[in-house]
Amino acid sequence: MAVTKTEPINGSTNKPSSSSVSMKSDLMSTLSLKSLKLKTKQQELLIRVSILCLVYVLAFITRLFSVLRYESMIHEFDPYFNYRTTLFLTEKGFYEFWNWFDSESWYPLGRIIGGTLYPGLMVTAAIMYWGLRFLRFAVHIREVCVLTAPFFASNTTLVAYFFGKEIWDTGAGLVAAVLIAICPGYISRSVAGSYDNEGVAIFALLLTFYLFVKAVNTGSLAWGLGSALGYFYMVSAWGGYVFIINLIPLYVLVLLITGRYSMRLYVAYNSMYVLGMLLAMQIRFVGFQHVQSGEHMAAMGVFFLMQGFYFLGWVKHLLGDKKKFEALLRIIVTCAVGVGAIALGVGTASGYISPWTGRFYSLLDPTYAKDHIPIIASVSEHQPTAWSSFMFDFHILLFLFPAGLYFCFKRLSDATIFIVMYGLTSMYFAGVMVRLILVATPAVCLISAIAVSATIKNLTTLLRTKSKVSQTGTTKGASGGKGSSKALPDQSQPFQRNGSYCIAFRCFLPAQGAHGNRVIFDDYREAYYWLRQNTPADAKVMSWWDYGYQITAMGNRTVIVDNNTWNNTHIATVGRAMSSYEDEAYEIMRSLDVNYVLVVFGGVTGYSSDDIKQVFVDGENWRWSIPFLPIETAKIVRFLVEYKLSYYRFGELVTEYGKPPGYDRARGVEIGNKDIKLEHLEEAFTTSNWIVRIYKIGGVSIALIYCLDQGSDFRNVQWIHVLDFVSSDNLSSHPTPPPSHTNTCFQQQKFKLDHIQQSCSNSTITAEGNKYYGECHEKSIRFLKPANKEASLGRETDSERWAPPPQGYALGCFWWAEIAFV
Amino acid sequence: MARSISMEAAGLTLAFLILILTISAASSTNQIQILNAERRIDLSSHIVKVFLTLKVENVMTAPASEIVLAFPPAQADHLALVKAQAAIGKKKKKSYVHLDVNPTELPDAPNGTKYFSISLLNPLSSGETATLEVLYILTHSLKPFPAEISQSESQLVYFRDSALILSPYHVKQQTTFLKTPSTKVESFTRVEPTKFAGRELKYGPYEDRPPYSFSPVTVHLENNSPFAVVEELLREVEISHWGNIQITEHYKLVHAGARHKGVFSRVEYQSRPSFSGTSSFKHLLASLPPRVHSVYYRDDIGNISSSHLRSDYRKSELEIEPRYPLFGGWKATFVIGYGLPLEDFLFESPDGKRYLNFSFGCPLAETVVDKLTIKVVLPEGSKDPSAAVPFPVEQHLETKYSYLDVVGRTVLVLEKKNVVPEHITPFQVYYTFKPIFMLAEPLMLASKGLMMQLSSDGSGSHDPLPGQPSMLSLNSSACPCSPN
Repeated sequence: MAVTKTEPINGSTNKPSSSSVSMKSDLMSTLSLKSLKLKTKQQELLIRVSILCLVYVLAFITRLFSVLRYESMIHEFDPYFNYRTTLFLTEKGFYEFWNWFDSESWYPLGRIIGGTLYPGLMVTAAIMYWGLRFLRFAVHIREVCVLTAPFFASNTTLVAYFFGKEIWDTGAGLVAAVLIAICPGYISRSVAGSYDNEGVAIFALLLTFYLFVKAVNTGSLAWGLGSALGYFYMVSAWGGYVFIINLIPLYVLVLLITGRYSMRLYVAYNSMYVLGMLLAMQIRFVGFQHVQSGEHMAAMGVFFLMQGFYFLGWVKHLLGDKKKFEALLRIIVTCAVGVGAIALGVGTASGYISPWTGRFYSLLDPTYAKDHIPIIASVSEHQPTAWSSFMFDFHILLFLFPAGLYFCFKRLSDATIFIVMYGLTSMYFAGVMVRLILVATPAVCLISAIAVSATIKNLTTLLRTKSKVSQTGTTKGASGGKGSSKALPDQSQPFQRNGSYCIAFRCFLPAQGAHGNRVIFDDYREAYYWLRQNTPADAKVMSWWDYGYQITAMGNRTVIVDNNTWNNTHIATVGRAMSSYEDEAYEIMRSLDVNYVLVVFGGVTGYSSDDIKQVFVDGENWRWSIPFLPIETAKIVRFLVEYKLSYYRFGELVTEYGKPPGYDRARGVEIGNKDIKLEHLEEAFTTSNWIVRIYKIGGVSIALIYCLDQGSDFRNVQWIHVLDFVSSDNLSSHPTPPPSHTNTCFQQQKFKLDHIQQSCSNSTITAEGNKYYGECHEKSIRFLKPANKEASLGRETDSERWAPPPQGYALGCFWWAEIAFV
Repeated sequence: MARSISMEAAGLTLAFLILILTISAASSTNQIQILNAERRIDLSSHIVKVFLTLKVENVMTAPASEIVLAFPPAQADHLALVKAQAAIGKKKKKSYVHLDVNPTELPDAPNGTKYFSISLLNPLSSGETATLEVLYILTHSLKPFPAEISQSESQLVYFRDSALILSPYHVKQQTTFLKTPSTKVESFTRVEPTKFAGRELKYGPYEDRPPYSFSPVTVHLENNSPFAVVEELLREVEISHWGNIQITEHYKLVHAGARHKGVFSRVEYQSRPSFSGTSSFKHLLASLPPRVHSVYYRDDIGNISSSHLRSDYRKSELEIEPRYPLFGGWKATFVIGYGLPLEDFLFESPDGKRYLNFSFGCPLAETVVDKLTIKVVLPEGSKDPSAAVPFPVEQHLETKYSYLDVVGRTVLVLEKKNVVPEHITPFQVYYTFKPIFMLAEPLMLASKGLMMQLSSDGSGSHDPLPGQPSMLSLNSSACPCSPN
């Protein structure tokens, strides 16, 4: 203003106007720049939100493939159990569900459903269902169940965005959201119809981690509380919560060691651990494991360590003298370590703290399961991961992952340390077990997103500086480069379609017809529906355990064993029955009160993973279960039940043009024995493509006679009642693993089962309602292995008992050739 | 005036008295005699159709206005339908007039005989004759014997009836013909003269039989036709004024023939279809209205992939295959659903009411429905529903909550037992509806907050059935309620 006033004095009239004009234009330009800046911010927000929305939709629709291609139905095995329980929950309500004793599975034992499952998934679906019904959307619970996994996958992308934003920046968050939406490793477990715990668990896992990192970054109690709630949800949903409760303490420990201890960390960890632990105890299946099981001890140890650290800091502050403090420190540390060790030792010795479970061991030592827990090793998704499946599941992320790690190390912070630890540990576990690739996927996506985001940022800054220097239109190049690098993650999309969607549509097998039309082999459902409609309501069906869940859910009939590998004895008995001579098998079946036997046979359709493979080839893992099988004389195989039931009257059928009748297309051989006679079993139903064959057991089933506690008189009581009594009693009166060994010993009076040797089981029901089998007397059966597939796999103390029998039988895969030609 | 009225009243009373007298006279059975009766019983499927041609004569002086049919109690229980018509005119210009048939009671009914009376168009005066044609249909009247057969056997059934027509009248001459599905007849009761030739078994002619003559006969014959019985059928017809009628049909199908015994061998069933499982069936044909769309066929555990739809402008045929072939005693439950254009079925009556014109009965060919329930779900806000059905049915009202409903939809429930394909006739459901209610659903959708408030008081029991398609995706272009 002063200048403008003085200038007219100088006499020039033009200058001031021009300068004022220039001033004005400057002002204008700054104003317009400001408004432009505001605009870019708004634009940025707009773009970000719209990208997130698109990613949200993308994550949902990429998972709808099976619904669009086939129909809205539940796929695979475990989802059928989840669906059945959800149906029960919505029909009968929560309390009935919580107290549900399911007598339709594990006949004659039954299963306490409420106490042996993670209810998170079912409750989530039921709440969504009730919510929709309340809003007057007349949906069926099946539709809700089918779409639960894609819905939660969409939610996971949002969490991934915020997580990425928290550990790196918004760009990384966006890329992480995109990556997690289309990452095959995650898609394969969250397609529509795959209604499994993992579907919601990955969301809960990532949410817990995000909230915890947020809590560590801010030191806010609210975020800590949020992460405890997230942890609670995770615990309610999936047994994989053990990963969280071990990773977080590990992370805290690393921060302590690297000298990054802070009040924020103290608040975050303590609030999360204490609240999370208390909340997790509300889940019946988990119960007091947080204070009793060895797997959870690390978290508790770190909790005490944190208190010690804090206490020491306080003492140090009070003392002020370094030497005194060091002396004190030494005393305290030795004392603490001593007391801790003694407590742990006493706890373990007294059985209060249970040792690590077999499953935990198998995670640390990949070869453990193979030697000690054959049933776990026999499940294909528990196999060590092959290199190719890493490629299929991560695709380009596999290469971006190390680059992301590099960037994380370059910019170390509390948050990046966390993601690095998460990435490295989960990658290790993914290498141990195929199914754990799922846990590693979010970490891999996040770290790769950091790599992508950081690279692009570097690139653009580089190009920008270059363009500023040269002042030429290299911006085009920059935008081109940006475009191409942005395109990178997108390119992975078309490739992944091969591997991921097709995780076993085991309910029906689509195939190509002779005229190129699509033929669906719907034999499974044909058989299940036949069972449902045309057998007595209380019929018991024996089958290989894979089909247990589907038979109970779709066939609505009682099964002997199912996919919850809860009791190996039982599974082994069935396996033995299947691989015995018919007479012996008949006795076993009668003793189990079986009415129907269901076998899956792929000889007509060329479906190779049928029961013959399961029982005889995979059964090799189970050789302890069929110890009497003298396989060296492969001729015997012809007389085994599984073989007979699969090939009964198959010799009359011409399966392929130009081949002799009885040509097995799955194995590519003509069967050796075409004249199979059945003595005790009769064909009840065979599906149109022969995939499922059902046989009826002739004769009347005998009543089992049980004894409660050895030595007491025989009473003709129902198993279920016995179990009911035992379980309710123990559950209420002994919260600790009780010493109440109820010898539920059943004896067959009419038949002498030499090879079963009176399968006595010394069963113990723990507080969680899990049933564990202890030792049997004498030289009896080997298969004392209990287990709960989902969580604690028996708390065996003596690994000797798990060992396979000394007399190993060579049950080689080459027996096929022998069957064919002998 | 008053006098004339009383005169008229007196006249009416007189006429009424005369009418009563006539009826009582008619029921006295010796007024009518049957000159000639011919009965043709069709046993070729599991639904027994009986065609009865009666030539009646009034032998008394008083005019007779109704003819009574008699049925033994066992038959009456399985009687699905009785229809009668009178032939009018001479041979060339013969035409048939439908007559009313109603169940009735007679005072001296022997052994619990059940009666149906046919009301004649014109009372039969003395000495006059008339020809009546009666059709009645019996279900569950072929008893499989042996009751259980194996896969390779064919199905044999008993049919029991009387060689003489049960009648309250004197029958001068009568003949009965039984049409069998094949030439294979194991045995039959002889009541001379009896003749069996080809696929026809002839009883009679018998002359001059007094009232209530009875001569039980049993025919043991082969019948491999599909004994498809729908134990329960629930048809839900949901009307949306946005242009669509959604039909959902829940079937509980059973093979009601001889029970399957022992083994089911797939290899025999596949390789020797003509000898193995001849009494079983695996296809069913459902005839649906033309212009049907979004047809689905599923059951509790998912879609059933074996069905074919053929449709042209006159009709649509849906060929369905249950998941497995049905042998005797085997069951299958499934759901068929489809959508229909509204303008084909919903009309406006002259008095401003709307009415649905839809067909009663079961769309599956050659099936008996033991219990049929039709639920007509009217749009939300409909009032005063009433049904016009050509035969007696049980009716009541329900409320159903579907998509975006607040007060619930009025459901008119019609129930009938023992339904045969002959029951497929149109019926009407009349109701009043204010067009403003059509906006209810879009408004519901738009104002969710409001909806939540409103629905909180209406969240009672609501149980729509599975597999129900969304009402939101309907075609709104079609004009509702336009008579076609």
